[in-house]
Amino acid sequence: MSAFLPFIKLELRNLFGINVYRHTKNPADKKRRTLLLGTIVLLIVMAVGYLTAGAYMCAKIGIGRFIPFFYTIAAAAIILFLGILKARTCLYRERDRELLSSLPIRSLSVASARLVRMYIEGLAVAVVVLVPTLTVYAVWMKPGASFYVCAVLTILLVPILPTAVAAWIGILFAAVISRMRHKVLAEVVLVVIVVIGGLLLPAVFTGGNAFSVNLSTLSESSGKTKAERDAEVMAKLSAEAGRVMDKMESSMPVVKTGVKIASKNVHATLGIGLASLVVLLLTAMVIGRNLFAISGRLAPSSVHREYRPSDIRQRSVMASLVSMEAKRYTSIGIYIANTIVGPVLMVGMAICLGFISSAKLAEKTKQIPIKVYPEAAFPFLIAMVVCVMSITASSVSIEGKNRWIPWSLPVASETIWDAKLLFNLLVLAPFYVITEIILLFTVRADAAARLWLLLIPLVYCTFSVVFGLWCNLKFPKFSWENATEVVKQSAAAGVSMLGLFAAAIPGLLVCVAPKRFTNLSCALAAAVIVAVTAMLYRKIRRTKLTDLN
Amino acid sequence: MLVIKNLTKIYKGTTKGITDISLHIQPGDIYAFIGHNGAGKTTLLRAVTGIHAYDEGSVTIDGLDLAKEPVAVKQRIAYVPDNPDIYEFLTGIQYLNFISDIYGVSTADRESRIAEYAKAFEITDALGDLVSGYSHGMKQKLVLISALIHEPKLLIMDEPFVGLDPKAAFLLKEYMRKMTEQGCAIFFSTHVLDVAEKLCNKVAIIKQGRLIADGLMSEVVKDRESLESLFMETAADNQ
Repeated sequence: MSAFLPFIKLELRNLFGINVYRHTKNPADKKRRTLLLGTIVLLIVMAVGYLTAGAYMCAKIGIGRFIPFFYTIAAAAIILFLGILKARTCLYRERDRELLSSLPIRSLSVASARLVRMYIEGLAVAVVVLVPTLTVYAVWMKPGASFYVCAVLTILLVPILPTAVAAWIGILFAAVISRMRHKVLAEVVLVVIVVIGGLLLPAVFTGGNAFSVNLSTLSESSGKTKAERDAEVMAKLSAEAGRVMDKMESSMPVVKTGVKIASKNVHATLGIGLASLVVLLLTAMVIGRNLFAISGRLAPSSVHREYRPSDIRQRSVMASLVSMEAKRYTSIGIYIANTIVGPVLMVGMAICLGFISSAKLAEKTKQIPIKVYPEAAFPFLIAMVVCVMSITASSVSIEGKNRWIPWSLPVASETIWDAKLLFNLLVLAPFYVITEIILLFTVRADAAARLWLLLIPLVYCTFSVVFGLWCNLKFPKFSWENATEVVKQSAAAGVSMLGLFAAAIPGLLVCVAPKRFTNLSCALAAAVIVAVTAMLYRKIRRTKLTDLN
Repeated sequence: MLVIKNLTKIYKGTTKGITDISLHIQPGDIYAFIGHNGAGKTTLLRAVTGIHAYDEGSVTIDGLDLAKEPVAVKQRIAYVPDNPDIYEFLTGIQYLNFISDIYGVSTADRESRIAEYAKAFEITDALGDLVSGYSHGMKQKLVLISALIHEPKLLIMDEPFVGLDPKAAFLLKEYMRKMTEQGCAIFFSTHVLDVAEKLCNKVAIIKQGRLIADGLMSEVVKDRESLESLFMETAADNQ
């Protein structure tokens, strides 16, 4: 294991881009990285705020004793989900055989260092989730000294098992993908399954223990004072929460045991942690045994089929640029997986909305103390999911080391930007058409509502594509080794996602506007988005390739 | 053909770059550009090809100002970078087709030129393979073919001989001579001083971002034993 320490140093230096941030001498790069860091810190602060408030709420409604167990499970689930998404690319790298197999090292050292990296990333999640929530528990429930030992052990040990499980799934993915002819397609399918599964799983688990409180009697017209209404809300929430927790404890022994262990049983916590560690070590050994073999199979190989000059034909510059964008897009699995989930969910959302009857929706929304018109939000719900991550948000950065090619070609900058926009719109087009066909046959609506169902998603699709490119032109990142750094972890990807969430605000406003103003508010929302899109497009066309060096 | 006047490009936040460089490259010239590592060769070549913006000065190619008409200027030139980083997700033939589309090379012309150059550089069989599976030398050959395919008036190359096998290096020199005989101009950086001295009629030497010598090879070398001797003198001045 003598190579373990150098490799763990290498992995940790690469973690969160800290080393590059420290040593970069390019002021523009430093500024971009500072902004990204600031965004991450802001997100962490927001997450801590939400988690603290959530834990406080649990304590306030009388289910405080469940806080350590539930938040530990939540932390483990998040670590597992994120771990699965990156395990394959973190553990098996395509150039491993070329770069590492000639070194006098054991592959176990490399595998162990990479697992430690995954563990540390998990530990960061555990700290963010558990420190604020367990602090609320400590303040509210005033537990004994054993809790504090348990809390520290839990934070340190909880990432181990999810990391090991994620690594096993990573091994499975790598083994499957390495044997497939269409590796990119196989990777996309697997990642999309994980993402959609991750989104649906909580609903499956909570389905039998749904938390449902009817607050419809608490509107201002009920004649009660605000204080009385607040007290009644808390009483109802406490009663319902107590009922659900009791039911879970009685029907699921693991919950009962988990609650006891997480709050005070040091020995059991330590035992679970050590058992997890054994699993992790076994995982490292398995990865170490086949690291170079699988990495070698993942790397593209030269076949040297005898070439026959059959596919030479002339096309227009735009067609050629769009075709090149398409070939690049379809060659990077993580790029497809990250950007295709939104359009797939758009179709899924159309199916869901199509099968929810207006009467059922009205029944559900009675629980909300203010009057809302959920049908008005339909077009926005559909539009928002497609905006989650646009292809254009990474389409400039993804040029990476190849950027000298478009930069040196006799093509105007705006033609290159237009090709990137056009390609993203072409990818969205079939999903949009399918969504609209589903809505046409399943949703009952008047002519005006139909018009908004048609127009609003179209407006948002265009906005997301233009906004994504604008973000990438503002925050380009050309120096990267793995496409994941650009597609998932770049400033442009983060900012574009935040901005698109902000674009949801018009939808919320339409939803709460009085019904007689629905059409007007939809028109206003669409006009605002179109105006912003047009403004951003003009800014994009003014950006020159040389501005990005 | 290529007129560089008082060109300055300093990288933001540093003092590195090129300062006040002026050069005149005429049709038929094979102009060698030599200098130490980090002297500013790649910066100048990238500024001239429109990859880097420059701070001051002007670049005119075939009478057209690069700053004002970048697309028209780029249409007349070809650039071969120091590293053949090309789209690995394309096959060799797809890459050549892409470049031909951009420069508007007709189907007939590209068919004949691809066949000729690919055969000469011995990569015909590999044209159907993904570039990601190519060796460094094969990628370099592909980049060279893509630079030759649209018959540029000015060929700019950064270390073009690195990674080429002896036969390909010989072929490239032959093509360079042939192109200049037809009125093309070639401006390239190299560390292979023997090749520069034998192949080029003109030379420019850059040191710490400034030109210290340029002109006809015979005039620059003068009574020294070789270009290498001159270069070593400049290296000694450095110490």
